[in-house]
Amino acid sequence: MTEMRDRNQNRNELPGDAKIAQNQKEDKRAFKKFIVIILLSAVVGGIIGVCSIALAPMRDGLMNGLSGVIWAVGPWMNLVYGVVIHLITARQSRRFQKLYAGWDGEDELLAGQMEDALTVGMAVTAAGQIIGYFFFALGFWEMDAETDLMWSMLRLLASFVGIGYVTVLVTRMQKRFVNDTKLLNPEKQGSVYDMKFMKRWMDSCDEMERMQIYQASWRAYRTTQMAFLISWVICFAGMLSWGFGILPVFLTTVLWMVQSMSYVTECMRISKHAAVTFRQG
Amino acid sequence: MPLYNHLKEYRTKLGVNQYEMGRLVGVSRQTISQIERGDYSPSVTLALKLAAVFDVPVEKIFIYEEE
Repeated sequence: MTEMRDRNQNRNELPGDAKIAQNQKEDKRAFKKFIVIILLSAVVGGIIGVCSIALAPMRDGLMNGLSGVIWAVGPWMNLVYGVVIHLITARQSRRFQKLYAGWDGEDELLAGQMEDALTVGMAVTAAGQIIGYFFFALGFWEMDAETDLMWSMLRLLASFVGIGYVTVLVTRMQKRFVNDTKLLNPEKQGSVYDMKFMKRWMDSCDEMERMQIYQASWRAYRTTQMAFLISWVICFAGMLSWGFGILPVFLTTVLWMVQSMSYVTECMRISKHAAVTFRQG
Repeated sequence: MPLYNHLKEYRTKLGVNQYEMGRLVGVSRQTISQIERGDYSPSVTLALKLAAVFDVPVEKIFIYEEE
């Protein structure tokens, strides 16, 4: 503080100089709460660690039971799951079509209901594809445990047919919802079959829509930061007591870093090229 | 900060719907709807474009009041 004050005497005072003492007061106030959170987190982490070690003897029994069920249903999950997605998304699409048929182009209540139907549909398709990949992987888990060749081939076939069904269904429904969105907002551009769909869609968004995307992205960033932390704790506990190995911890760390660093580098890029970033048409 | 507006009145006088209004200034129907409801404050550029459509000063359409 004294050194900083001495340095400042050799130049004109900047607005930030007046804030030095205020910043220190703010840090001191927040630091107390920060330390309590850190200590509480350490206690909770310790409890999780102790419980993981204490539960280790139960691990084999629990894992055998659970893995048996997962192994049995894994290859078939996408077939069942695909039907569920189909039912939900088809319902939302029908709901949209019915509302659109009676819309006069102005009624905001109807427009809101149509947007809700599209949002639910898009959310289900987005989650659908991700969960479909998981169920596909599940179908290959412990493959060599099936000794009967015919059942083994059947399980493989079910896995491939399942992921194919979910992928085709999700793509078709996304196409339908995107085209329905274009009915509400005719200025929108882009086809889901286009590799550059997201760029074209974003380019056709106006300032309000971009602001919505930016705010939603910020919220997603904050949520996934917390999700990565929780995931890391679970993977670490699993490594200690449940035989997960180092890979889950490593993968979680890598993905966490990718998210954090991509955010930071993009912030730096934007601040250097603000004129291009924020210019509005 | 609240930004009130008379966009709906001016638009109605002009005889265009929200979609047509959006087309005139290069934004979506949804944006016009959100501006009219007061849920979205337009950028300076958009506010000036809207004022230019109605050929009135921007302060006639948008009113800023201290809370």
